[in-house]
Amino acid sequence: MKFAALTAFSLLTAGVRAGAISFSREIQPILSNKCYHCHGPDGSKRDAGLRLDTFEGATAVIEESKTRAIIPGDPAASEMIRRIRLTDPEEIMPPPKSHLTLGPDEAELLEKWIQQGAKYEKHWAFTPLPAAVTVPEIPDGKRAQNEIDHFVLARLDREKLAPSPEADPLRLLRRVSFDLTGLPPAPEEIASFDATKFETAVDRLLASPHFGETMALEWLDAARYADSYGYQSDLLSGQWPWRDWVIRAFNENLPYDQFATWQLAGDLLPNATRDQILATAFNRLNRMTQEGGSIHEEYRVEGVSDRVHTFGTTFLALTLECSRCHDHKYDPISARDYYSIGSFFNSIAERGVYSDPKITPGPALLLPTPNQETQIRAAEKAVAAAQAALPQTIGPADRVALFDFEPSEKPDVSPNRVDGPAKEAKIGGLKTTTAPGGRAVVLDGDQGISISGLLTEDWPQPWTVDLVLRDTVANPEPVVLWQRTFGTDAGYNGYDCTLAGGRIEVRIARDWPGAAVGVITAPVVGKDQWHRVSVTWDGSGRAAGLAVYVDGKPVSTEITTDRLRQSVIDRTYGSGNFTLGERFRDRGFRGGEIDSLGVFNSALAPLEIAELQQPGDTKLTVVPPKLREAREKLRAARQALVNIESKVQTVAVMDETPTPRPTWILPRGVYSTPHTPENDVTRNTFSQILPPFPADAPPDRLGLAKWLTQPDHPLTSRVFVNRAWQHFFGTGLVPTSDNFGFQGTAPSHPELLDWLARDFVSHGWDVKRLCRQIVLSATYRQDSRLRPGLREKDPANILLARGPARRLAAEPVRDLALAASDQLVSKVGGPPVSPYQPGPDLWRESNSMSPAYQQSKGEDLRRRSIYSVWKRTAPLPNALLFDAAGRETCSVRRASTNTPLQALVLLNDPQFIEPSRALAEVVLRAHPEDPDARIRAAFLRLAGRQPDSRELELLKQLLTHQLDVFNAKPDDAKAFLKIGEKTPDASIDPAILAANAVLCQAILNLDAVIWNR
Amino acid sequence: MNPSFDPLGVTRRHFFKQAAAGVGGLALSSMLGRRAYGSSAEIPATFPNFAPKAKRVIYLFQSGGPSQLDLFDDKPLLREKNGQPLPDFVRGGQRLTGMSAQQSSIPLAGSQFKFQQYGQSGATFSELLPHTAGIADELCIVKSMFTESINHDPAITFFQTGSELAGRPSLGSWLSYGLGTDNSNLPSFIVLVSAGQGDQPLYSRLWGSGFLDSKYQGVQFRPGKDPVLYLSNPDGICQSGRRAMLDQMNELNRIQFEKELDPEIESRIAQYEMAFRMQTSVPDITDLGTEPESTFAMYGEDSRKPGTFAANCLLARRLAERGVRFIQLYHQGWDQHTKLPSSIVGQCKETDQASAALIRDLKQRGLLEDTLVVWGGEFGRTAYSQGVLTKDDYGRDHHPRCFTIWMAGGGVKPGITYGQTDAYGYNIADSDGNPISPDKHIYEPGAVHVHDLQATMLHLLGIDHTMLTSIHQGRRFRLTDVHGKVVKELLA
Repeated sequence: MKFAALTAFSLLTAGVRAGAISFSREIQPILSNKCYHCHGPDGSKRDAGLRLDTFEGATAVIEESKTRAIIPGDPAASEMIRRIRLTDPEEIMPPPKSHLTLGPDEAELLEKWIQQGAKYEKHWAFTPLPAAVTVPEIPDGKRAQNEIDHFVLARLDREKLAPSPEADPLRLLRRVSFDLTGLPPAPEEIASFDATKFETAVDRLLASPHFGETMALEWLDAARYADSYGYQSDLLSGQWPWRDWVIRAFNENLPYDQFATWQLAGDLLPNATRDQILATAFNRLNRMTQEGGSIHEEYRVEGVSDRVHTFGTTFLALTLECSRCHDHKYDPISARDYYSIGSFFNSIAERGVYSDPKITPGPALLLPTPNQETQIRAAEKAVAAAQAALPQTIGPADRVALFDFEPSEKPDVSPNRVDGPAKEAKIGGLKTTTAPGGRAVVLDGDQGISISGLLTEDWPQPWTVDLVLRDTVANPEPVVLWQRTFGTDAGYNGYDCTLAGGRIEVRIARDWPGAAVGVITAPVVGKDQWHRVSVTWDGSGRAAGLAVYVDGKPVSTEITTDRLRQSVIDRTYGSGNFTLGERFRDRGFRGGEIDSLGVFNSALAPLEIAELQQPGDTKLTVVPPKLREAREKLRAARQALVNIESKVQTVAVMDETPTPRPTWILPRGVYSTPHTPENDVTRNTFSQILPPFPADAPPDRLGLAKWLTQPDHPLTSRVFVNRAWQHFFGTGLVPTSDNFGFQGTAPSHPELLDWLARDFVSHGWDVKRLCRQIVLSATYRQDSRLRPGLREKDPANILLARGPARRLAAEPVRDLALAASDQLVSKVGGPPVSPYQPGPDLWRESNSMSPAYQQSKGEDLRRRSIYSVWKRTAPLPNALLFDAAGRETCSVRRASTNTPLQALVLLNDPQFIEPSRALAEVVLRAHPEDPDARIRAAFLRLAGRQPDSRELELLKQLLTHQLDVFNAKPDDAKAFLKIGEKTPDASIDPAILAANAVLCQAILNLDAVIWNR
Repeated sequence: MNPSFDPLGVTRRHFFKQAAAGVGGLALSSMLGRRAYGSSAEIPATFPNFAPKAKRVIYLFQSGGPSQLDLFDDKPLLREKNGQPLPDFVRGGQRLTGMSAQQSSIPLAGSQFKFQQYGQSGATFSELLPHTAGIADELCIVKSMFTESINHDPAITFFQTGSELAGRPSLGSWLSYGLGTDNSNLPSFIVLVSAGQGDQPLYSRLWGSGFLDSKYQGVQFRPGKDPVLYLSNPDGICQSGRRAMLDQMNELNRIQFEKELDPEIESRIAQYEMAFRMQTSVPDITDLGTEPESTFAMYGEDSRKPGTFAANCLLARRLAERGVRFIQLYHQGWDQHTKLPSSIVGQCKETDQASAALIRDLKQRGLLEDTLVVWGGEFGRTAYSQGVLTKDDYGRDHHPRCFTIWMAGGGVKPGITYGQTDAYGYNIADSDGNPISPDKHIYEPGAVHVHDLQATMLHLLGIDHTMLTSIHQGRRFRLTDVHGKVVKELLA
């Protein structure tokens, strides 16, 4: 059920229409939908300068016509009424080109409202949550379980409708089992169910670990959680620990205000725990690309926008995305508001694209297992010990390469003048020129000088790279001096040194800038001058371990990032050879001249660097063996730590940079808009609606979370309790659960919504309590059968005169088949699993860049569907056909369709055939000789009730017929029983087993099973 | 109030209205998207808005971005200036992708292929497209297409859904939503992807329904045993056994309906019947074995091999004959950053003959006049070489500023070439050949933005593109966003 249509509208208005016309519920929706597009909050496109969203605007004199749109109390003189009553296409409002028309009822309503004084009110959703809400009396003779029913019954009484009686006990048990755990009641639960102790059953379900799985599912839709990055090659990400945290949070009943705070700002909480930081992965689930040629900033901006939209829809049910390009057309949300909110999500060390599935885009959180944790502690101790044992003295200067680029015997090659793993540098056809040291190679920017065997070790290995160069171009954009990296323009990992406008930048990166160290100098390299540029690295893993020298003297550097963890020699793409002057899809050192290159396996001390300037550099330190040994020990200890940490599961999370990144308004969302003083924004919440940003809150995401979770916040609690209501009833009290703005639908039971929200906040944002309250209400417990008359009056069940009835969503449909056949493996959490998928490899079918789909085996084929791998560009087809959310963007409502392709899935997908076979075995073993009992048992497991006599009779006929079919064709039976991984029970005759499997399949396909009524 | 589209409400209304007509009719409307609207006055009562020229579309999408400069848009100046850098005044500050932006030089690369004019219309084609050249007078060639994105994913998403962002309905699903189906036994939106092509990936969102109901999403037909996923009965289940099972299930569901009175149950029965019928109708149509030899001769030898572009073109014709509304083909492999001269040859061999055969075949069957065929990719390719230019080799990077597509049939003007580019093939040019910088916000005669193409396609189908809307999160969305202009010059 999606949401209610016109019938709902008439019911809603009828409900509140007792004399005075309500602006908020009756007039605003008309004005918003039909007028605000041209006469609304967006100041940049306001026709005739008229705005109808404020009283002042609507009653002001219109410049052009000298009339007033609205004259309170005088509809006849109001220009608005005149214009909407016209027929002349030149003058009528709304104009024909808008394709909008006002219905006669709507026009009449506007007229009456003006007659009544044209009172404007604040939009219902933006009014603070009332401190208390009066609970209405129960109408005479009606029965209530809790306060919820008071509101519902009072409304039904006004509509002269009777509520439905309580549902049959087993129907109720099945309903609440699916709603609280996503699973059918087990046979023993059905057997022991005592309808008079419904509360006990509810408490059992609330305590089940499956409660968290079920509640998490909808949260994953909102958070656009998936197991792949989403764009282009759509490689697999590893964010599943966050999914497990969500399940845990619901199971442990983390209060909703904290649930929200952790996800928005867990990293900013004092002494943040691992879980609090992990929760912030919520804001790192936006799609990412690694497509070649992508402009990083464009995608980074896109990712930040996605965070804003997700925040808006998930927590506020506001369509903030409308304000990305211009002021919102309907709601009073300006583009400035949008970017002010965006600036909260804009300041982490991220690049905007990812380089490789092996490398988690930083900032990242390491999640070692307890065992790994122990290993890391031990490795850290070993590093500390090795460091303490290191003598504080200089040397040895282990020179491993010296290339002087003087003419050599072999053409196109320059030999290494010292002994080392690198034998030669490939110069190719590059020209040479005269240099202070003899000849120098002239780089052209396209061809680099590649040298294998240099800087091949991970970052614990110290080094020095010493270049004598001249820059004849002085490009203001960074050019590659040298690099030893793997990767593409989507991201490189390794060591690199670039030059831009005379500034030298050195980086050691796993994922820039999220997992890297880097320093940059002031302009120190002059155009057309020969310089010695030496860089040393001490292997410490800290940015302070990088030093830059020019002409033998140290130059001061600024740290660009200082957050290196894990390995920097991950083979992703390319040879990874040390290369001078060039990199794949990067800007080369065109016009650069290289006189010599020296490389050392140690970080030379300043004295040694100075010595390099001397002819022959004869006074370089020599080799004290003890020191070499101590250094090697330290290197090995650090490498051991890197090796352990590189194996640890790593999740992309939020981690605020020390200073906020500047943010400015991007008209039409164009990422390359220049920053000016006029378009600059500072962090803030909405300027025209909702409470102001608290004065005492920090100006960061934690402050934003404080703003969001203040007890009177108009939206936070209303939005969440409404989604909870939607979970249990299929439709929210506000049917547009994704939009509480002017274009949203007003609540069907506004007082109930407010009461629920207030009660929720007053009781500590207790989610389990809220769920308990809803399912224990008489409203929820009603029978869902459509009575004659009710169907006509309220087909969408807006008035709640009956209980909820919905088709099971994609995940519970599959989980039901597994659970009813005792196949379900109910392990909670872990990496995604890959269930049956039909056809060729659907991942690689249209995407040769994708990894292959590797179907799981054994238990992992039978896990709950929340753990099924979700690849955004090629989702599991059987889930998608049952309206699972695509998870490319935030979604808080799923459709519920009914299509022939769904029938084909349930009838022909091994995913549903295998459980039918398994269920047949279960019931055959229990009732080998008694078909009636067998049918009853299968029916009970799937439908949660006994079949009635007619149903039993039909199922018996079905079984008999299928037996005939398979007895006539025993090979068919055997073939059918081979479907799926499970070996059939050889002790059962194949024809009998196959016939009973078809019987179970038939039951599985029935409305009585697929619908939760 | 809530004026949004409500499929369920419609299902119910249809049910009550059509109860007398029997369940079958109802079922087809709810599941295959016969037009069904929410009741709000603002959603037009009927589509088409005016008499359509085209009843259906076959879209031959050439994924990756075919090089217009080696196929359609002959630029002698590039040959003349081969190897010289792209002048700054031509580039005009246009951004390049991260793949060639860092090159130390961007040398112009003249096409290595010979061009010639064909037919009465004198349209230009390179030697790579002999068959397409043979139908020159049927084609409406647009040389002045432009788009916004410079990367594949957003660019192809933009072409197919009108937005670079994920989550919007695709062209085909908009049509299913607006026009419904003309065949009760087949989906109205069918997708055929050439098998085993590799290159730039395709995504289910390209034929997804976005925020429209999932019933409007494209159904992919595949070569092999199961043309539609899950279509075939499992091993060991014969059609008569399945029939008996369905009959009994229908009875059981009817009992349930008596108790629940929920029309969804009746609809469910109908869906199962429809699924059963599809098990026959789909294999019937995908089995090309009934085609005469002459057909295969026309489409080329490849057309005997299921899953090839040629076989898909032939299948597209068969689907068009059965009234399928939107048939979307995808052929990957045009993303020729390097070694373009060698790889484009094979790419053209795979597509040229069958594309032309499809037009001829539709024409001889009288179907071309109401079938719109579109051929093109998500963007074009650069006039300069990506990577090193050698005597016989070059690559071309992505180029959104100008590229070529062609259309045929379905009410487009045959035998015309619309729009032109400057002498460097880098910018769209005005009628005097001077470069212009068209923008989606301002309509420039001679330039065709993606939204203009979409508006024109909808126009040919009898739809005013500004009226085909759906409300999502309170906002009216349409395929063409707030842009798009019908290019009248393309209409017959």
